[in-house]
Amino acid sequence: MEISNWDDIFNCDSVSFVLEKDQMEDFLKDLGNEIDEQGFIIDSKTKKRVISQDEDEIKLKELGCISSASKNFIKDNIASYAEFLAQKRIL
Amino acid sequence: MIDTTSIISAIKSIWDIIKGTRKVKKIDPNLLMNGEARKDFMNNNPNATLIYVQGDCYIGDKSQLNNDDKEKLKEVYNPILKDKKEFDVVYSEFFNRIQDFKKELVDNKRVNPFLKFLDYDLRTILNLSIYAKKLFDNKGKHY
Repeated sequence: MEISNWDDIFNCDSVSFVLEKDQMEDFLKDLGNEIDEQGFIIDSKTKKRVISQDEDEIKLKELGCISSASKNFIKDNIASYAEFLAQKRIL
Repeated sequence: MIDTTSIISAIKSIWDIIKGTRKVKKIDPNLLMNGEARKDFMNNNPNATLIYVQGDCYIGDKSQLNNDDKEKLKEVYNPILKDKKEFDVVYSEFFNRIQDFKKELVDNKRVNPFLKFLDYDLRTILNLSIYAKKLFDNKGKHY
């Protein structure tokens, strides 16, 4: 499949947006999240802090990846990522 | 050895063509992997977005995403709808560590003919053990 514009990107089944931290904050807003005064990621509607892959609250500066599978927030360490893959049984 | 200046020059020429449009263009993946060049460019062009699709790297202008696009993104990430698409938003430095990690796992599988005889949990433990040992031996800064 030839990819030449954003519509083609959204038609793909598997995509990674590779971003710097400031850009990640923008994407979070698009996905319905924001950052509270202490730097934690919260749900824009409920204002509750989101829970990361390792069942902990997570700050933007700790965020490594957001996966579309159930909107998983994964901390930027390989152990959390490996746990995420293992839970999906694709490690 | 890749020259950082030439990397930035190459990405800038592509960016100048597509910025302000909905076009995305394929770029050399070395641009993605070179942290210094990437940060320098991205800090000066905050709307530039790197997109990784099945081994290829593209650049697009995020400011051109319209409301329909944003709704599609929300749908993909909505846990209730359980969309089959796999869209990841990844911090650039973490992305490179994930690629290294995945490459190591493939190497594990090449060197270990016993993996296929193990069930999933044991295979995972063995794979991660091999990876952890490599990090330990190399005093790896990634964790």
